[in-house]
Amino acid sequence: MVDLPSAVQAHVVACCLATRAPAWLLVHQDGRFQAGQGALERYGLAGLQSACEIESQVPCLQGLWPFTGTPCYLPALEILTGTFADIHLFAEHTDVWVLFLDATAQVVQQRRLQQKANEMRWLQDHYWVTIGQRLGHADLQSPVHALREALTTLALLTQTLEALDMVVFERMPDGALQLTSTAPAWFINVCPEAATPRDGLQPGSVFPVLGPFLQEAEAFWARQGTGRYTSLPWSLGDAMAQEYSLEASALCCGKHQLLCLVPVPRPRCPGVSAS
Amino acid sequence: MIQKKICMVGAFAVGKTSLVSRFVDSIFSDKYHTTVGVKIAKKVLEIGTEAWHLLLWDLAGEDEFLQVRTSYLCGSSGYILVVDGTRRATLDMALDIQQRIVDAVGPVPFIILFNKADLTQEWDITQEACAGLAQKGWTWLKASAKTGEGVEEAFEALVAQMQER
Repeated sequence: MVDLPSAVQAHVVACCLATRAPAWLLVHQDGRFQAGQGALERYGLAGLQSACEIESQVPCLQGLWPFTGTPCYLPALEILTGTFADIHLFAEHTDVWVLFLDATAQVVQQRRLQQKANEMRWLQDHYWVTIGQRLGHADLQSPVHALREALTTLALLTQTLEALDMVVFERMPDGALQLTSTAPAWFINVCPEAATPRDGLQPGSVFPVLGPFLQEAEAFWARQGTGRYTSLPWSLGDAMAQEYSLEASALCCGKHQLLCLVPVPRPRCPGVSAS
Repeated sequence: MIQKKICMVGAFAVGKTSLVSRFVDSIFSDKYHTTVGVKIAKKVLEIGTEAWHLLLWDLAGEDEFLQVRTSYLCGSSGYILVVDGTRRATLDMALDIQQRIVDAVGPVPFIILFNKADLTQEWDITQEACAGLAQKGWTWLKASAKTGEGVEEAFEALVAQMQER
């Protein structure tokens, strides 16, 4: 026994008796029940028959007999519906003590924490899988790293489009075209409302001359055409009388249908070209 | 009377409790309730002319904070390693648990059960992984606690292994 003053020992025992509702069974090492006492009813252990096999009377002790002699600890077993017990088995000579201590309060508290932790972990796992699928990573180990890579690629793509003076629209399921790139200076010059992009900005309205090409582009998108379908160049001026020669291209990138507008130095022939 | 103890082990949220509920009470709930410690259920399985009284120990799932306590496996006649077929990592965890069980209680009959077989679109277990299990001579099966598909067959397969011992 730890060297504790008798008053401390008595207090520890009193606390255990008050909060853990101990009950004990004495079982012969061959598995025959001998005696029991304590809060037996709490664990559904009242009325056990002496000299009969314990495992047929107490199912949670199934398979432990003959007892090997090695102490065994079985925490948080749900003995009866809503009642949990910590079970300790330890040998003394040819007998085995089976001690039941109520663990219901601890289990209820642990369940709250464990439920929350497991739900969060489960969500995180699914979140990683979803991000991995979106980014084309079958086995995503680090979503933060993958996201950083994807954002770097996106920034590079944005800078490339800006350097090419290219404007990109994506065709939405309802047929509307939505500006997805930043608007270069020439586009804002000919279409000042592009400086504050909004969903209603439609190339067909800004450039009425594009009408017939957009009809052909619809057919190209509908058949998931490969390469790109390019318009004849057309010219227009801005408010500062600067002249632009422009070209439109329709293309399909996976499930995305895109319209690109770009200034060109000289007229080109319309038609499909390899991308 | 033949009375045997069977343990359900695996990672958290793979569906151990749902499989037991489906097998014992023929019910299923989509709501996730974590298991703390162990819940014990009973089921009588008729095998030929014999009635097998199964005590099903549904153990708390393993997570990064809590390992499966192998002392729960003491006295068990078999166990089912449950894997979530939509979460590949739970297979790795199951294999790790299996090794720890062997170290603690020795060779005991077991099967690997891939749960959530109804979620075919989200399936995350490769044929190669299953072939690797078969090469080890291990029995693996698919089941769905949600639909009931393969659940009873899984317990019967484990009991068949237990009969052979």
